[in-house]
Amino acid sequence: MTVNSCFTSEKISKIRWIHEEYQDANTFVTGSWGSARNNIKVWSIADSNYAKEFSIKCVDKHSTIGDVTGLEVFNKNSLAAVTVEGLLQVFNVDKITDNFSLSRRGGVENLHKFKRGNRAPCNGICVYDDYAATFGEDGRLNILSLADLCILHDIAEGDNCSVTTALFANSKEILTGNRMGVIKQFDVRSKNKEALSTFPISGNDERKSVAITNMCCHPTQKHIVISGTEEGSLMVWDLRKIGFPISCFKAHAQAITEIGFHKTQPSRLFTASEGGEFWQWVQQETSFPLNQSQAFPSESDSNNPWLDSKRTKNQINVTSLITGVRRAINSFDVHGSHLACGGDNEAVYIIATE
Amino acid sequence: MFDTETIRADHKDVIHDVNYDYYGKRMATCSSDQTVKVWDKDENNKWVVSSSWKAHSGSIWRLSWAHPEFGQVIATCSFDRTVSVWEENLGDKVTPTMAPMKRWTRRTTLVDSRTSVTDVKFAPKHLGLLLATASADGIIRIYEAPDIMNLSQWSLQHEISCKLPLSCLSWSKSLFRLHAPLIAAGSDESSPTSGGKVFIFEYSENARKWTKVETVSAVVEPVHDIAFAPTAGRSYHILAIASKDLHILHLKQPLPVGNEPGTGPRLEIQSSAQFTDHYCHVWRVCWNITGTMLASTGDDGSARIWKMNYMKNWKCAAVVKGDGNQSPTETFLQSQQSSMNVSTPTTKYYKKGTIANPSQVPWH
Amino acid sequence: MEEDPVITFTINDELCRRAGLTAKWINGHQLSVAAYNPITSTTKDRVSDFAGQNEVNIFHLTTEFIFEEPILRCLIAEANGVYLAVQDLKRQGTQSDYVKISRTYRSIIRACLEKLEEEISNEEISEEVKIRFQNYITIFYSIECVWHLCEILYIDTAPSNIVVPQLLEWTRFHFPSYERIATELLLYEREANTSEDYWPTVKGLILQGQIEVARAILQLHSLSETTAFKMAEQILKTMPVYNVYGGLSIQKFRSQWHYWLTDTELKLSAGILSSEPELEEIVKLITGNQYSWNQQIKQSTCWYEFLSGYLFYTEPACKYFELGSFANLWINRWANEMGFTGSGFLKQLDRVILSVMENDMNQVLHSIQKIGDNQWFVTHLTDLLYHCGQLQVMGEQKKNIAFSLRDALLYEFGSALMSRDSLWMMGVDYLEQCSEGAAAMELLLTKVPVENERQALKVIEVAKQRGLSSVEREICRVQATRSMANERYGNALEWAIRSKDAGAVTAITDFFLTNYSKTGEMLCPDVLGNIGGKMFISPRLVFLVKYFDFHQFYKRREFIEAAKLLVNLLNSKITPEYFWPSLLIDSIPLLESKDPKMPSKETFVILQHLEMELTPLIERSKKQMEKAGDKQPHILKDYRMENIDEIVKLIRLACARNLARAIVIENTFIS
Repeated sequence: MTVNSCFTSEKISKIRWIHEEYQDANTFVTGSWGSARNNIKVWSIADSNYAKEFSIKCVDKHSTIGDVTGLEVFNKNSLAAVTVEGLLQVFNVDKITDNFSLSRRGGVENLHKFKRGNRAPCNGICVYDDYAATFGEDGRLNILSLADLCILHDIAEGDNCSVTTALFANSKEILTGNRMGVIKQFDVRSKNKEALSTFPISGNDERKSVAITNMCCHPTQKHIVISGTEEGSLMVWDLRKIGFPISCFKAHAQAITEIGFHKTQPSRLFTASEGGEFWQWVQQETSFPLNQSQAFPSESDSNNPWLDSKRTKNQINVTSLITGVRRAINSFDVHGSHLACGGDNEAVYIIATE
Repeated sequence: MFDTETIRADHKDVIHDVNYDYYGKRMATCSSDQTVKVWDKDENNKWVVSSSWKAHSGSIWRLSWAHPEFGQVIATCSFDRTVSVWEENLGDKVTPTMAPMKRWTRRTTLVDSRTSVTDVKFAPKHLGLLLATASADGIIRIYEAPDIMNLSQWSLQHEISCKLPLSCLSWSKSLFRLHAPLIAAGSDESSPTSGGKVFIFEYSENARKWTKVETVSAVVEPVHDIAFAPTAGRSYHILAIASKDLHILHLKQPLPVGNEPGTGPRLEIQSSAQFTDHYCHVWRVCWNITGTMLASTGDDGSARIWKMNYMKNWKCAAVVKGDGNQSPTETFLQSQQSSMNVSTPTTKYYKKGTIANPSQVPWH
Repeated sequence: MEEDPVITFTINDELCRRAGLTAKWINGHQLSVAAYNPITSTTKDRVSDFAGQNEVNIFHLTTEFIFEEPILRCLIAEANGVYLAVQDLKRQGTQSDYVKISRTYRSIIRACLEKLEEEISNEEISEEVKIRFQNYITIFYSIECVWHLCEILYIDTAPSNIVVPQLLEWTRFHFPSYERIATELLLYEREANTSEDYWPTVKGLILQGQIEVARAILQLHSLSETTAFKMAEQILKTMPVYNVYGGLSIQKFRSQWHYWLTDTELKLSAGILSSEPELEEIVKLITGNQYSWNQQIKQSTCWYEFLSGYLFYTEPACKYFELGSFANLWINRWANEMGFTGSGFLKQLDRVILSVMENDMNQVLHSIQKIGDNQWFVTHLTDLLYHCGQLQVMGEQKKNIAFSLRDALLYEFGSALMSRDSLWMMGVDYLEQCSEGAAAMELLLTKVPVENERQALKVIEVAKQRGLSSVEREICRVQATRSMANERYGNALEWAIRSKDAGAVTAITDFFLTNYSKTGEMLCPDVLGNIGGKMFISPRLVFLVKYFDFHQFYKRREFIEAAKLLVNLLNSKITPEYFWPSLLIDSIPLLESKDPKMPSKETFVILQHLEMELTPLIERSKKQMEKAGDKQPHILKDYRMENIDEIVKLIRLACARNLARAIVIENTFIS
């Protein structure tokens, strides 16, 4: 495993790989926060003369006012970015001769506003195919078409508390988490804008609010959802039996900032934290015989370690991927054997696991 | 040393007070033209007026921002003998697409003073939403809004008579809760025979009353402004006084022993510095956030910046002057004459590549 | 130590000139200036003499700050990581730890200089940017040069305080041209001496004490097989070189040196090299011949260029504490040869280097404060020297004030960063290490201009990690106020709960309850329904949540549960006074139910509260109303008076009817 880093001159809020087929991604995009002008930057990594060392270079950037709060790749090389100002922009990241460049395809403004019509901060975006949902301090949920750049549907009063994270469970259901620790499930197509279900979490001290900070779902078994909390713990949910989490683990000492599975290797889960940690949770080799036809051992409920807290403890190994980062790692992304993360120490780290 | 941004104030007469909100992101100005203007930064980081209104029927002398915990609130005091409290709120939506306008609404007018109100200051936030006013009639008045959700109700809590016309007041800034709150007030009565011109009052929680604990006898000349420095971890208060000289006092406040202020050990007052650099009257004093720098305004038409060094001594670090005839950019009286020499280095360790000869630029 | 001059800054403004001006701080690095017309308590209200004559302007003066520039921002961020590593060692690190750290700092500066060079060579950048970058290069080149020297003399100290070998290294590093040409010459092999650079390079190398390289190049001379060259080679080869590890005592070395010197001088005077004047010159230099060195001095670009070479040949065992006097001797000789008089011939960097060699730390630190880097260098160098125990700064009474100096520098640097919107996080690291830092942090963290909740949570997290609970509380309260203004009441309530400030929670809860009694609408049910254990922060919130639960029971038609809860609330002693009418009105439908939901005992409770709480309240309100004329009494302002009497009547009636029904049923059960 090798780690390469590069200072960015801005605090990184989001980092995402641009997908490439049949090879490890070599291009990533970052969004920044906390400066007078923030940037969406495209970076390329290249092998340099030294063994195992990459040179990391910024190849293009788009400057914007307000923190970049969400950045997601869709359709392989399209990019949807939202800023805290409630501006959604869609870019193409194209390879022109050897370098990647950003071209803006369009945008939607003023996605979030308070009751009187003044602008409300947008907290992020989640995508599903060509659809996206943005969420914010106004509690509103906007469902957009990224192809047509328009709002298809909105749930104006989704939450009376700020929505901190959202996740498409499937093409028609969306989950939201808020700052007081309540997860809600909405049907994005239904006329009824009430939540289908609502379930609160509780932390160590029931007198304290524990925000849901991020959520992800299992890449092959979509009903398994893992949420990260402000206290640094993980909660595993089975969407078929919601109400109570299946299990709950104390993980990081500070808030979890991002959580996600490896897209093609579901046995690997990653978590990053406000305390500068970046961990990998790997499922150990199982002892029972593998079915030959099954590509992945975790394809069924009976052996998915996340669905049983005992199994989780026995079968999952946690390793730290990076040490000595003294500030929040706000975001990471995994593609093939390449990992990228970045955060408040104004650096990005590229980890090659092979 | 400085980059200068010029803002056209558009007041019809001299500005009497410019004040910044808690974060330094909003500005409020008041003037003899009886208007108050509130300024915000636009998307290009330029200051623009977001509200401007006629607030009084006389010159507006000073204004004060409340802590943002209480919302967007300012208080103004005027020659018209009144103090007004203003709150910003969102107006109704005019059109569905446009964001609603922000506007300032008068929440109350405090009319107890019989003369010009010369100073108004919100208390440190941990005391609640309190407002102190100083008047030419020699009375400090302390008002409280008991319900922070309702700023139209203010009650006059205390009236403290100082016998001499008052020009200024300041709340102590200690965050140390055992320290009872202090108010220092200054009088610009011109006769030296009337004795000390700075009065210090202490509040007793038990007796619910303000008691004079000290008259600073060292300052007998008229006092025009007074300011407690933020304590920033110090165990004593620092008080800057604008009088004939600039005084910096250290006040060591004893912890309360008895119930009554004045019955326990006395406030220890020590002069830390006294400067005559303005050669004549000092009009205003202002501390920076951490209380390590002071700006003073003098009758010589200049402002001086004072800095505390690591030996805790105060020194004048810079002077700001007005001059109508100069070229628009700043000039330094004493710029560094020397320049430095540099030769061509190469990087031999860690990083490769050579570095060319830097130009001959003097240090600043 | 020289006194700093007071800088005068002029504002170009006619009104300021005429009226005078006043200055006020905006934040840590900005000053607001405006024309000022003195007023006193007796000032009459009249139009000023200046009204309508001059434009009224406000000036914002911002101190220059170089670290907004992305390239330098990388430097400050990367160096911040190194700075934190220094703190981690807690002054327990070994010398090699600190040398490594010092080198890392310098390589960060080098990388930054490289990037600046790269930018300057970019054709597209404007002249203005080029000049600015050129200026940064000057600043950081000087920093690196001084830092390197400090590293040699204070951090990477050799055993027995020998300095010449490291000084040679330092000189080579900063005057690299001879070595570079030498590398090229070595590639020419035999034709090397045809290059016009040949002799100047050999001489340059000798002047820098690089005898080995010089010898290698001399070997390339086409005449290298001649006697003169062979003699010269012999002399160079046999020159004793002082080596601390060589086992030779300094006395033994000296006698060896003298033997060699006498021998060489004898050879020179015998004219064995007179056929090759260049060679002769070189040998004269290595014997420390005064005349030859003086000739060379005239070629030097700055005073210290040949100092270390000269020491190498004449005082190879020079100790660190002797360096100052040698440097001064040399500087006089240099000035003399160059024809400089007075004191103005030394430039800033020259003087700092002299001060470093003189070990005058007070002067070094004083000078580098003015280097134009917002005190980055002085802060980091002082901190590093302090940590490795090499900072000796004399204050009054000859006391070492190293600690308080470092403290003051960290405080200032940290405060300066914290007043910059985008660098406050980094500023925390510096304030954290100084004695009054926590208090400053407490002040400055709450002033970080938070524009949204994500940013608020970032500041809160930093405060929480450092146990600054007052900061957490204040930021949460400000967020609660903002949410109220934006009519996000549920969100405001959550922020108030986070603030752990019971007063703030109660104030917002009161808003929910009064809104309900005015409109009959319960705000933010999704929030109220999920407050759970968090309600215990304020009895008022407990009341609201329980009252909300009552509504939920009612909505779900669980009337028995609803009735029980209502009676509990009536008995709870946490009912706010203004809410009595609402609470009692809520009992009417339950009392009027055909099949009784309220047992007789509970009905008595309702009646009792009606008489004990509500009736006296109405009486009091009525009295107040009489006193205050037609002003609405405060407590019951949401109800009109003619209604309230009606309501009381209705409740009494409902109680009576329910009591009748309940008694019938209850007694039936008993029998």
